[in-house]
Amino acid sequence: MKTALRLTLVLFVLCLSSLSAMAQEGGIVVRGNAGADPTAFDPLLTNETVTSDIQALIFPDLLSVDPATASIVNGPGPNALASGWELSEDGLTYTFSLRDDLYWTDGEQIDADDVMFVWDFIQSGAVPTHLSFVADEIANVEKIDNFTIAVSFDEVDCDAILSIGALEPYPSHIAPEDLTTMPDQEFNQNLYVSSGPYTFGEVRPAESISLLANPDYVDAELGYVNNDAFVLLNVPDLTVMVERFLAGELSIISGPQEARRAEIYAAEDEGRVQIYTYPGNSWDYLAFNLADPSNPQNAVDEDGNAIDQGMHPVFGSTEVGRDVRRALNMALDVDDIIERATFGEGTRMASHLVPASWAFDPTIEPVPSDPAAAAQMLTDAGWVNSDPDDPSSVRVCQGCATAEDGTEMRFVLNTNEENARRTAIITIAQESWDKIGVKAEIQTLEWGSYLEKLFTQTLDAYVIGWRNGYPDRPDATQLFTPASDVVGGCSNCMSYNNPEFTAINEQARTLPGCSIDERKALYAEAQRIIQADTPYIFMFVRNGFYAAGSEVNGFDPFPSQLLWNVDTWSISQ
Amino acid sequence: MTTFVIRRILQAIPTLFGISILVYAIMLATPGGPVAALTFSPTVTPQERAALAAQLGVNDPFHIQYLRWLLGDDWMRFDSDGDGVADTAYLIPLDADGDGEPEPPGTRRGILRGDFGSSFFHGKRHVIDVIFERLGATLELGVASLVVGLTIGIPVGVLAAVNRGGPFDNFTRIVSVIFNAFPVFWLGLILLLIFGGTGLGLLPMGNRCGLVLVGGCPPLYERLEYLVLPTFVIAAGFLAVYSRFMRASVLDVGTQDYIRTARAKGLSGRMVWFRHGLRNALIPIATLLGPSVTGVLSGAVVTENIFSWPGVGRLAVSSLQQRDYPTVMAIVMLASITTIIGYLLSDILYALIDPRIRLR
Amino acid sequence: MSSPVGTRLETNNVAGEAQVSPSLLQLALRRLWRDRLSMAAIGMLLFLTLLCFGAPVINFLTGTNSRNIVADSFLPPLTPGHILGTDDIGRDHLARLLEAGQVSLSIGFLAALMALAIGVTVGLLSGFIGGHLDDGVIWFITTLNSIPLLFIILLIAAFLSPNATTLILALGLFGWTGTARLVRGEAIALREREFIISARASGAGNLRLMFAHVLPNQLSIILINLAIDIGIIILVEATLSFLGFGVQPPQPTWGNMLTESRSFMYYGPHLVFWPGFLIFVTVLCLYVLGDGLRDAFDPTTID
Repeated sequence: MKTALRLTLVLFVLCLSSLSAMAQEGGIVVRGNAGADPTAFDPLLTNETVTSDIQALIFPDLLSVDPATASIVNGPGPNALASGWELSEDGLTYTFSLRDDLYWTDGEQIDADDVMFVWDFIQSGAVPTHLSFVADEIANVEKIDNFTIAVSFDEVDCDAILSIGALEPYPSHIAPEDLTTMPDQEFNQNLYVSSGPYTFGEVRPAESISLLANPDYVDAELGYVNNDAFVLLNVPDLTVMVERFLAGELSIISGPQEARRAEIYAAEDEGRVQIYTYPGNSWDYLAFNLADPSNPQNAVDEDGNAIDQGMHPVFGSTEVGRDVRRALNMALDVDDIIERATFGEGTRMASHLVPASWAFDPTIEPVPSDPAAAAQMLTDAGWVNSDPDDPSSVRVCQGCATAEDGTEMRFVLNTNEENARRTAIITIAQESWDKIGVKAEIQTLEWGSYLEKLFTQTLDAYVIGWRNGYPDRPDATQLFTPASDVVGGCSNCMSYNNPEFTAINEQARTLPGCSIDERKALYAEAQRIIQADTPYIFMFVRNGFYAAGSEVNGFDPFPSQLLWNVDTWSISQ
Repeated sequence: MTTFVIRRILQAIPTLFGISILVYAIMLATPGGPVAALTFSPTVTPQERAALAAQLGVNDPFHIQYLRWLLGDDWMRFDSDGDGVADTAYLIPLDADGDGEPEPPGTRRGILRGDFGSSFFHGKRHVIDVIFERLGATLELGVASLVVGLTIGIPVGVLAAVNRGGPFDNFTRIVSVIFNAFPVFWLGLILLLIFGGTGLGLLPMGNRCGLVLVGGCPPLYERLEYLVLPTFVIAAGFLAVYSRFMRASVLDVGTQDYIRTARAKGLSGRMVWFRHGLRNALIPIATLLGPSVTGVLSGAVVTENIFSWPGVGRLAVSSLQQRDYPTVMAIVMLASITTIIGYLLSDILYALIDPRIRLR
Repeated sequence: MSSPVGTRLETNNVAGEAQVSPSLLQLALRRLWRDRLSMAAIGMLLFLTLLCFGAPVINFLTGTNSRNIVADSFLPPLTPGHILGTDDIGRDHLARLLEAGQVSLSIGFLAALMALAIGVTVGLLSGFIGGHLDDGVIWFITTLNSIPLLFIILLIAAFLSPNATTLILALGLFGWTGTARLVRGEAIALREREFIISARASGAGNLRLMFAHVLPNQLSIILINLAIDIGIIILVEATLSFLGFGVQPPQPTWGNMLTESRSFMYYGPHLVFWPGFLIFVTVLCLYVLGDGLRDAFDPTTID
């Protein structure tokens, strides 16, 4: 049957229901894709969301991830080249043994050279690549023999294995001599050599990308891929996407608009669709600028000496103004925000770690909502109502630690345009604060100019989000340490700098022996520190949401792993 | 005629210059830009950001960026001794990002030499390739809606004029106004909900054809049902315009002397209209071709987004959102050229139908 | 203004505009007064305008406002205190619709007025004075007309932060070419007419001729275009919101309310209905009025 499919040159169906007439048992999985239209596919050159989705289905990994625990397995796994690793005594060198039974679709064996090529490519710098960060983290990669490679590091890094995962095998035998021509090679448009449950079918720009079941896929759970093809159908309008899913034109969708999910739940009650939800890995937060926004400075100079960054007149600095920030946090009812802004499709966060992270400590409670106590805390901190009888009158500094007496408690709260969820958040925050005399002016900015202002660190307070990688890496070096507080290109744009936090975070990352329990304890401590310092008001992770039509058999996702068993899926007729 | 066409083409050149300067000025007057959005990730360093900005040339002053777009930059920064490293630079610094290393030699040839540049996105492919693979879809939609607009609009207009003030006239007048009073996207969504799978289930809800694994879409006649809704949404505007225009034109012709003469000869009312009136009334329709091109392009922007139609309109919107300057510029220039050609054809057609008109 | 969204074009340059003397104006007004459809449209437009700009009074009476979160999300219509219910984050829907109406109607009216003012001035000057000025104007109009207007507006809205003011400026500054062309054509035709020639002979200057003699004769064009343009601009505002380049929330407009509410069909169908309905009714009335005006000013109309 699958060979028959391969031989079929043109197969089109007017709608899914008419598939039965074609007697294809497996069926076609159709996934709705609202993302930008990918037109380049080389895994070394691009990692746009949609491209990565495709690469995951047609290329092997180096390491295998257990979808149930979201952790990397030291052992063989489906479509993973390494069958396991050994760590050297000093904890600096990982030696991987590679499988010898994996082949590219053109018959070439997959071996150490295909991994070495990736490393050489990254090091050559011939073409800008999203993988360049790997060169900063890994010291060296060495080929021991055709099926053994050694990866070494300069210092112990307990997350090292996550960086190594980026070295996914690449069909080096088709790469051009001159690496700089790689973007212009046919391979960047048509992944004609692959190895995985699917092979590359056809791209119709801005419309669909088809992947065909790979009859030679050796790691298939059932011994064969149970469906015929996987199609990504481009549907730019999110409202239309949900309609087309409910109409049966799409078999799976992920992450539909929160406002539309009730309809899909209703369809589930009628038995028409299957749903899987989980606390996701993208999260929204409200950040306070902890430096003087009128005079943005880097945290440290070129020699590593601290630079005086001043303090924000309302929010203070990391050490000063904690009470004010905590009070602002307590004045918000984040659960209510989740209800109104995400229709309940969010999971409360207590600190910077997402619930999906292995290091997440569920015993740490979020900051409670208590507007009355918040008002009192602000008064105690030297911000008093200008009219003592009117709790909503603007507060002015009277002995506060961050500004001159008489300064009014006013600031601008920004977020990006085109995001109804974040606009709702700032609207609700403004209103909640207004009731206790904190006057925030809300403003939405176009994405590009918003980021520009964010990078130059001239904002007061802002709402934005992060999306964590998979598997989750609890390290916060990039988000909360002075090293990434650089004007013009920051990820710690609000200038948070607590040496104690930095030290614990570093210790957890480089702990000798990397004991999971000890690292968990360290990360729990880091979470408590950051919650006490309140550089962010931590809000929620958006709930992940996968839905499949009832005709999809085998739909059994794990968090962030919708397609881990897609080779066993079939579509009922 | 040939002289006329040549002169019109020559006249279009300053117009195109005007457009390009106007659009470039609007585009570069903006804060923000593509770099921040391209690099919003904690793993990107400020140095990498600066290098990217230098590579894209987005920090150069306005006239330099415009010159690069127009004439290319292979003469601005180049390698004179053949060692692969740029060593000579005019107008732009050799080392734009300040890292001590010269930037790579310029490779752009500029649009005057046929190079519209590479997209900032789309795998950095040539803009022209990216646009051309979308052009067919928009063309298909545009021609279909023009044909539908004309074949329905003209008869309706004539009938309305013949029955001036009658029920048919009033009915078409109201219907055409009603369809035009909806925001286009809203009309599209309503139709999609009514006729699509969650409603009556009569028509597909989007794309250009059904699932195709390999081999591209089948020929047009096998997938007409995919064209129905998007065509109707764009054609609704044309229908109103053509029918109203035709009605006015027929009425205008009706007051002319030769019609009165024909009527005086004793010919019946209908006969007069169809024998003498129609041909002359059709002439002004030719002037609508130019504006119709604009109509198709504008209509496509919205309609293609609703109906997942893989055309240039969608590309225009997403490029604007991503600040993909080269793609935006190329689309605007191509749209302008198309419009100019549309107006030119209008004039030629006008002269062909109406022998009284001489093209100067 | 040639329509940026749909494909509406001026149709009034075919039927041959007639010059309008004061008595013709009176005649037209009398005709309009008798046209029930047009009068209904005018009545509806007045009603909506009064309603929107009377929002402070209405808010005072209902004890609510458009910005504050006053109640639970998605309360249905006819909830006590919230005649049209509440929106996704619990704001009064009626209050928001009215504030949105102020913005949408203002954008439509001011932008159309600006386009008209520029168009009439440029058209008069260029048509009446002619010469190099006319050549330059024609070239400029050709240039602007060669880019689909929606593209220009999209460019401006995408690259300047889109708010009510920038939209009015953008639509006003780039939407005048249609009017200018019509007025220019009329001005050229009138230039050679007897009453102008005799006025010139009696010593009237160019400016005086233009504004005292030619302009009044353009009244029909001006009024018809104003009505149609306001309608088109309200639609453009909605389209821009749909494409993500319109006035940004939390500032409500009918366009962005309609765009946002697309996803609320399950929770609150009333949120989808009203902004769409108001846009539809307003634009419909404006078009009907434009049509009515055209007929009223058309000398071939038989009474």
